[in-house]
Amino acid sequence: MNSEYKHQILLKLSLEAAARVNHDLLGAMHVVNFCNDEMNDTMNSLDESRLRDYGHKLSVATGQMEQTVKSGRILNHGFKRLLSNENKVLDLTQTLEFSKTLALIIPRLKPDIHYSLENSKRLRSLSFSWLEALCLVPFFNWLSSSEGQINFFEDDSADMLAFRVPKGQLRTEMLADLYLKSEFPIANILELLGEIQLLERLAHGRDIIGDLRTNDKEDTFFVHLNLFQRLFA
Amino acid sequence: MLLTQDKQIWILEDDPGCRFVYQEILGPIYEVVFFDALKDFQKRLEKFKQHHFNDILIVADLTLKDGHFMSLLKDTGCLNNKSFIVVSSDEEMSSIRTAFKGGALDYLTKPFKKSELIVKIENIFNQIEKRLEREQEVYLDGHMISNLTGKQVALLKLFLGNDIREVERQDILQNVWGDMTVHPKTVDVHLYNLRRKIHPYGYLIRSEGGGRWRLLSERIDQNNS
Repeated sequence: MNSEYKHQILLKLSLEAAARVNHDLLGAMHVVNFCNDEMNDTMNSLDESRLRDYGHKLSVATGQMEQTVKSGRILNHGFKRLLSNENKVLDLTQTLEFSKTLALIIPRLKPDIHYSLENSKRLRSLSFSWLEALCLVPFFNWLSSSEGQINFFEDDSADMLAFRVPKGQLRTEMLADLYLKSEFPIANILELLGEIQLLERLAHGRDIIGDLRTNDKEDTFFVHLNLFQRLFA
Repeated sequence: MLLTQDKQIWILEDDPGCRFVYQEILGPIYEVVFFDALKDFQKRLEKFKQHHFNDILIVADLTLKDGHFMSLLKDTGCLNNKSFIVVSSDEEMSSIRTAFKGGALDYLTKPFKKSELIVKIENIFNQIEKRLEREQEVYLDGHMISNLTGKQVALLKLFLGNDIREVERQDILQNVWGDMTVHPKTVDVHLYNLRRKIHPYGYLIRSEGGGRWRLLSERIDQNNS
C-alpha cells in the first residue's frame, strides 16, 4: 500500500480522535464551570440538597476531565508512533489499553470498560504493532455490551487469551456488525488499510475470536492472538 | 422565572453532564426534550412531520454517539423549515460555516455562559414571532398558499390582479416596492423564491421577455399551449 495514503488515513483518524478528546474535555469543563458559577453566585439561595447536587456533578465532571486527559495522553502517544511507522513496540497490556481507549472515544462509549490481565510469562512475552492494536478496537466495542470487570487470562487448554462473562451477555454474531458495518469508523479504516480478509476472519471466522466453553452461569470466549498476528497482513 | 409552556427546546446532547446543565438553565423556562442519539431525534422529527415548528427550537451538539449532526444537514432535508442552533466544542471555521450554510440560526461554543444561551434562545423565539406576523397566506384558485413573506404576497396579488395574470417589471417596482431604484436582481430573487413556493401547487411564473412575467397553472396552461 502507498505509504503516503496510509499516512493520510491514520492522520485523519488521529485528528478525529483528538477532536473527540477535545469535545469530551470541553463538555466536562462546561459542567465544572456551570456548577462553580452557580455555587458561587450569591444571588442564588441554594438549599443543602441543591448544593449537594451541584457538588456531586462537579466531582463527576472533574473525574471525567481527569479520565479524558489520561485517554488523550494514551492516544497522543499511540498516534505519534502509528504515524511514524514504528513496529513491534507494544506489549499486550499497552495494546489492550490503546485499543480500549480508542474504543471509548470512537465511537463514543460510556462508561469505561474495566478489565484485568493475568500476569503470565507467555502473555508478557507477546508484542504487537500499533496497527494490530487498531484491529482490536471493535473487539472492545463488542466487550462494552457486557457488564462488570473482564478478566483476561491465558487458557490452559489452548494457546489463547480467554475471558469469561456472565451467561448470554455477549454473542459472537455481534462481531460482524462491529467489524464489517460501515458506520464504525475504525472498521472502515482497517478496510482502507487493506485488512479486509482479516476483518472477515475476525467477524465471521470464529477462529480468531470465538466461544470456548459455556456453563450455567458463564460463557468463556477466546482470542487467538497468535493466529491473529499470523493473518495480519 | 415564568415557564414558557407553549415553547419546547429539543436538545441533542449525549453527555449526561451537559444535559444536566441544559436542564438547569432551560428547564425552568421551557419544556425541554432530550435526545442522546441522532436515531431517536430523527424518529421524533418524523412523528412531528406535520407540525409547524414555530414553537420548537432545536439545540444540537455536533458529535453524538451514533453520528455527526452535520450529516443531517448534508444528507437529508429533515431540518428544512426548522429553527436550530448548534452548540459545540468545535471551533473550526469550516464547521461553523457548514452549520450556518445548513440553516443554523446561531453557533455557540462550549463552555458557554448561562445568560448567553438564555438571551440567544429568547431572541430566536422573538424573531420567529416577528416572522410569523409578516408571513401571510394567499388563495390561488382555491389553493391556500402559505408561508409567504410580505413581498411575496404583494407579488402574487399583483399577478392575480389582472385577467391574464401578467405583470411588468415596472408594475412590480411600483406596487411591491414603491421605489423605482430597487436593483433588478432583487426582483429576480423574489420571483425565484415565489416560484419555489407556488410550484408544489402546480403553478409557475414564466418569463415572457421584455421584463414581463406570467403566472400559469402547469396542468391547464401548459397542456393548452
